[in-house]
Amino acid sequence: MVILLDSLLNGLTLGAFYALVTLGLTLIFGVARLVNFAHGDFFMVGGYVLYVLSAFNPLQLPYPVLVILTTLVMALFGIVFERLVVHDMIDRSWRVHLVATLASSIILSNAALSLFRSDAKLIPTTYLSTIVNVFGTPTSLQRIIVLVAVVIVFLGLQFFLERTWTGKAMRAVSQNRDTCVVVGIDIRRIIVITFALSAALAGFAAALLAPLYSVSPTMGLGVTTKALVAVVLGGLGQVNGAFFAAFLIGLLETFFAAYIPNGFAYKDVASFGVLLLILLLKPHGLFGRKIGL
Amino acid sequence: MNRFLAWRVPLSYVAGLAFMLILPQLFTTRYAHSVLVLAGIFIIFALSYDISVGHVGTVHLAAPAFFGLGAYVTALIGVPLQLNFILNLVLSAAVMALFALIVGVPSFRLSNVTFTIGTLAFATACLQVVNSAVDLTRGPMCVQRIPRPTFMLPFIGNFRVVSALNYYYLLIPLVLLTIVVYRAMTKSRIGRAFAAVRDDEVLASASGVYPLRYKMLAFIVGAAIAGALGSFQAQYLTVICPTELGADYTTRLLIIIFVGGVGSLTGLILGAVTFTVLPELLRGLGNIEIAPSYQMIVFGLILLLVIKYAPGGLGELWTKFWGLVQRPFKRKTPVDSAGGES
Repeated sequence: MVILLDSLLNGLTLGAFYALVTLGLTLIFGVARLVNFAHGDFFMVGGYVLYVLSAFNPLQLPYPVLVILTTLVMALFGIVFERLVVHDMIDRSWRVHLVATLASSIILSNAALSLFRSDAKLIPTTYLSTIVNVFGTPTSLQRIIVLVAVVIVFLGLQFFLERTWTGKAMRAVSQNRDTCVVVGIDIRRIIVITFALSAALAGFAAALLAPLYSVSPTMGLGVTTKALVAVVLGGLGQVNGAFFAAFLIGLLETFFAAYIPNGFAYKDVASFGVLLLILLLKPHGLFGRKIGL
Repeated sequence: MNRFLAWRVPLSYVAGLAFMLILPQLFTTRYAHSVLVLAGIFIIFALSYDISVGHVGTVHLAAPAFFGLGAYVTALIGVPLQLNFILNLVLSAAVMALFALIVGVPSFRLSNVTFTIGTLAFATACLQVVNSAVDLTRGPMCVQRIPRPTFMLPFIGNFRVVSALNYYYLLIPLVLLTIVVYRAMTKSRIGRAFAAVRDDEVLASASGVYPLRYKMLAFIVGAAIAGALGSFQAQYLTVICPTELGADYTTRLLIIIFVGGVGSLTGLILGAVTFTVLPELLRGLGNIEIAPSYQMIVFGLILLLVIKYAPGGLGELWTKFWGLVQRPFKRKTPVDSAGGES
């Protein structure tokens, strides 16, 4: 029973990790029609931003302030990334997008490798070492914070996309660009905002989860792959579908690792196997419709 | 078609072959020979990858998985069965072709970019299996003592391939064979079908070209060549580690293909040679030790700039240059000046 509850908590945390990264990835895909293979590296960069902020912290700022700072720095990073990499190739084919973002991923991960070297960095927080009891299972307070935060972020994003002008404009761009031009939506500006939002989500995820999982320069592509699997599993361009698929993968991996002998070594194989299996049965993902890309 | 153009291909083949045979006599150190072998390996690798990426237009990221698994097939099946060099290559190629078929069936249900994601997931899973199945593959401890190939030669008897120079001459026929397969597949009816699928799938199927069949064909042939190449790598290095399935190969392949020039034989060869020899030259000259990560940053920047601003790559530059060279020999035919069929 303890193992079950423990696995459930760990699985949900891992799912929250994938979900936060996946949200940013789906947003970019939906609005800019671009699969960002450097998105996992956004997470990695966010982790190192938090690492640098907490290592050189002259004002002794508390951890929540560092989380906000990391998120803001990453939003800025998203804007710079859009300007340098994406801006003048947004209308090109998906192959150009693919290679350009993969190249960016290579540059980012190797830049981190030469700046911080290859060892994984741990970022201790006070919440990490605070233990709370959930139904008799001791767990770190950080996990509870992550789970609460991911729900708040998801609801906040829903509100943003449904109710605010910018959010509606983003959905409009993802649906029909020509009509957006007609009604006077600046597509370029919306794409920049989407990149800022997506990178900020990755930064927020990194600020919350890097203390739990540590950061290393080469983690980016692995994170991207997982997030992409969630995106495909959930149905391309479906924000909610991808969100729930991310939790599904997180839970699947954790339970596979906990209950199958030697399962920990093969947990990625399990999630990719499920992906291939589901795609055989439902080629457009669990919640997807047939769309052309 | 004038006579000069008709002879151009075989002539450049003979010249290229002569050049390849003479090269190791010009650079005689063992180090230079090992660089040449590496260049040859990357020529084959890039060609096998480009059949899918450049001609059918399906970008997959599973090439290092086929390469590495091909190497492991030799190390774990071929060696205990005591197969000879050629049978090892054939076995790895056959197993990888079968593998590609099995992976391709679910993956090709995905369209374009999601297909890429599926193959990336497959490659990651393969790497993890090879790393984790310590009982079978010895994991990160690597499979060691893979025997070097031995040939029965007339008059000489048993000849054991040892030096990098031996391997280089062993590799040349494989490079030529790959070039022949590459040209046969891309300059034929199949090649035209490939181009049709790449440019417009719907239109292709409307004209009776079944896209899945050609995508699958390119994927399987690419996987078979990569697998055979992995077998060569195993018998060349005599040690095989999980890093042979790593994403580093993907990076280098993408750079070679996109900087060299997608779909262009000359461009790919130029790219493969440039991006194996150049890092080695930079390492040797003036004792500048370029750290691998700095090198990868530079490679990444080159790739980013080329894909954004010069999508044709080196191959396009070469075509333009070649056009200038042969212009004096080209006689205008009525068809040329009419600008179309008449």
